[in-house]
Amino acid sequence: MSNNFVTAIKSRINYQVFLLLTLIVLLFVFDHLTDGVIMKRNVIFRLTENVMEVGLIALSMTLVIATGGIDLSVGYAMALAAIMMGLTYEKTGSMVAAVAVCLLTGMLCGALNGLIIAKAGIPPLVTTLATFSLYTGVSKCIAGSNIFSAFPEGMTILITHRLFGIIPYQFILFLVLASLFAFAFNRTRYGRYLRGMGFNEQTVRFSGVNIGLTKFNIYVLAGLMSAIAAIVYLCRLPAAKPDIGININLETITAVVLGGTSIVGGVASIEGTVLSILILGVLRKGLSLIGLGGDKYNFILGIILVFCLIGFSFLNGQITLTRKKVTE
Amino acid sequence: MTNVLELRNIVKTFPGVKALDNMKLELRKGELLAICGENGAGKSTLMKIVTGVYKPDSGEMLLNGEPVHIKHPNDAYEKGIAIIYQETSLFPELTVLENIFMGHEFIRRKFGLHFIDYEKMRQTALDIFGKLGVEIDLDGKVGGFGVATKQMIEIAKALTYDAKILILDEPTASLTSREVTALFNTIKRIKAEGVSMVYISHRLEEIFLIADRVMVIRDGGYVATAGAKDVNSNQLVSWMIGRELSDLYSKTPTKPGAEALSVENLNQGETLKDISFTLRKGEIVGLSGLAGSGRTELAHALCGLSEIDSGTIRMNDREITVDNYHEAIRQGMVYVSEDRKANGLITQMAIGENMTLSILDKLSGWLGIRFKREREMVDAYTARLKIKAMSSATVLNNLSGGNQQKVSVAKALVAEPRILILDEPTRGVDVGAKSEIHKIIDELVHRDLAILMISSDLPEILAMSDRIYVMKEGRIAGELPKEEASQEKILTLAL
Repeated sequence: MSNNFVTAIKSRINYQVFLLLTLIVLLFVFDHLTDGVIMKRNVIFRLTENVMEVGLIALSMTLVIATGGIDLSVGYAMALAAIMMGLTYEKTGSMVAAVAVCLLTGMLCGALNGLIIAKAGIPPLVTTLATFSLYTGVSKCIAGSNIFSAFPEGMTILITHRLFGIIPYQFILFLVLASLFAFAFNRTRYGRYLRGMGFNEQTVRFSGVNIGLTKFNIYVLAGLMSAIAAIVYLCRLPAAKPDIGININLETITAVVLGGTSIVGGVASIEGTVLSILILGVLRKGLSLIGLGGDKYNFILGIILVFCLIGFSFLNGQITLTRKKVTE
Repeated sequence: MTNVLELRNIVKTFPGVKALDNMKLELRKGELLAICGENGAGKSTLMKIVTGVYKPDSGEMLLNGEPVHIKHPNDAYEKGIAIIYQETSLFPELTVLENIFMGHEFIRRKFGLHFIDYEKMRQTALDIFGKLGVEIDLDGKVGGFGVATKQMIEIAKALTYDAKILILDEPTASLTSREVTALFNTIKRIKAEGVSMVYISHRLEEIFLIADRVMVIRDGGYVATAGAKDVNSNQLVSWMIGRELSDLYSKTPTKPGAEALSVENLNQGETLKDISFTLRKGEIVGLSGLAGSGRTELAHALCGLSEIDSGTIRMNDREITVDNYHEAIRQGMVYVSEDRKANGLITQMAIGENMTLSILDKLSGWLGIRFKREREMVDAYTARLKIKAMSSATVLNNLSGGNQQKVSVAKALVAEPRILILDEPTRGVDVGAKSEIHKIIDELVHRDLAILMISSDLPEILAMSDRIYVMKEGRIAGELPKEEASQEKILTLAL
């Protein structure tokens, strides 16, 4: 086990190289399959466009999973934040107020998750399964069959404007935030606390760290990132409705796990998450170009997730081919 | 007379420690054999081998004269060996009847399907409780009963397996004296049925009350067995101790200075009652007592790891309130946990990451952790404590128990404590590492640190302490200066 671990940590860097190679290979494969569409100068950067909401949420999800937690409510918190933004704009006509309400909604969703998990000690999986249903319910009660699409003229700014005409601004935002997350996770004490909590929460508590507050903060951050994702989404497709977050959860968790983060916590990588988001971007666009979009994409995501979960458990010695001896 | 259970030459080692060496045990039919020994003498390990939780490295086990191998705890049950632990293993939300037949319910076939035969189970249960002389509502939920009743239910459960050998591990630890009398009556009834019993207890007076024979073990080895009527408690105590002090590193003399910590009338629910003590700079104060006497709970309460109900804590003559551990560290009070795997260290992380975990706030600047300074600090302490490892990036899992324990001590020292609380500082480490750790503690006290050392290891506490407090049932039972302290005196206060 112990030796496995050292190799596992070393292999994590190698694993990122593997992800990068996978990305490049996928680019070439799909470029070939689509007769050179993918690699066109005005297409290649736009591959990221469809996965940026997922990418933003995946950054905070990486931290959540690092602590040994999980957040199944992110997609629905995003939908609720989007609806609140649409509702506020409809009522007030103020974009500033709408954005503020959107961010606040996301953070409140996260705060509720954090409160239940940190204060009541309910496992994150169960908590966020319950709140995911709650947030969906609230969204549907507010929206009914309405679609909030009465946004101002320039709302689709992320479609109409791109840096140098080719690079989506949300991709720049993603890279900036990813750098911040990587800095916080790799270079500040909070990153070490989060990893420590994933391995052994009690020891972190016995080191003078307020475990409850740290958990609370991390779920609030997850809610905030969902709200930012909601804004990015609405600037692309200005139509807020309850079902926009439906696939976000699966895609986010797949991205984080594919990026080399251990689903049981402790081992995590923001860099890995960024690379796997890019891979998912290429896959999504490439597959849809060759006629395998929509449900087939979900099917492939599911396969990737299952494969990664088994593969990493195998690498970290949690599963072995021979039956494990039960020892006390 | 034949032995119902006999163990010969049992050896069991854990990484770095020999838990049992050449251990033996003979249990006769229908007798009650008491087993005595200090904390860590190997009583629990021995019982875990008998009940199949552990497998011995070597040695023989005979059941009614026939060699047997107990593969797992259920196997022990099926062979008629049942154990009743201090903490019951019952399901609080299930009824008494469901609990005592859990896993071996009577089955009735109907329409080719298997149904639980509640009637037959009820009849059997009534018979058993009748034998025990206990009246109980079989349909009541177990969670609603007190500890004493739960113990009776456990015993009944063991008898449903038709147990011929019953092991009772500290059954009276949390019972009132009336409940103890009731338990003893039950024990006598079962004995009359021909059940043989092994009885583990710290309470010597009980042993003389109900045991037929007493067996004493020490440091994982067999010492002696005698008829309960043929020995007195002094003889038992001297068998239980008796290790020489000379093979241990001893504290060198220091001149204790001003009072560093004084605690007055500290109370915490049922765990700590009216605790008062003092600790001076340049002094090691030992805290002795049986497991469960409140030593670790006291350490946690002092460090703000648990809440206290009342009492004052003074540090350098100034009253302080510590309601979280971070505050304790800031005030200069640092705790080294007794259980380094559960809450002392993170074994999957690197040596360096572990060492600095509680002082990362001091090591951080605008650009995050100052890695260079951290590395220098970690290297300095690795060298000072002679931690043997490839580098500070080595994952703790790859270190021996002794070196892990040194990392645990280093993790406390980097916080530059003025008061250091060491909880079982040498538990589970080999002899060499033990004396190295003792040497480190000695060096620290010469630097004017005030050290509170909790230890179950009597020779260790005698060799290292200037003064010793002995705890019993949440209270300080007595204080012994170094000159007056002896293993007998400590045990007498603790038992």
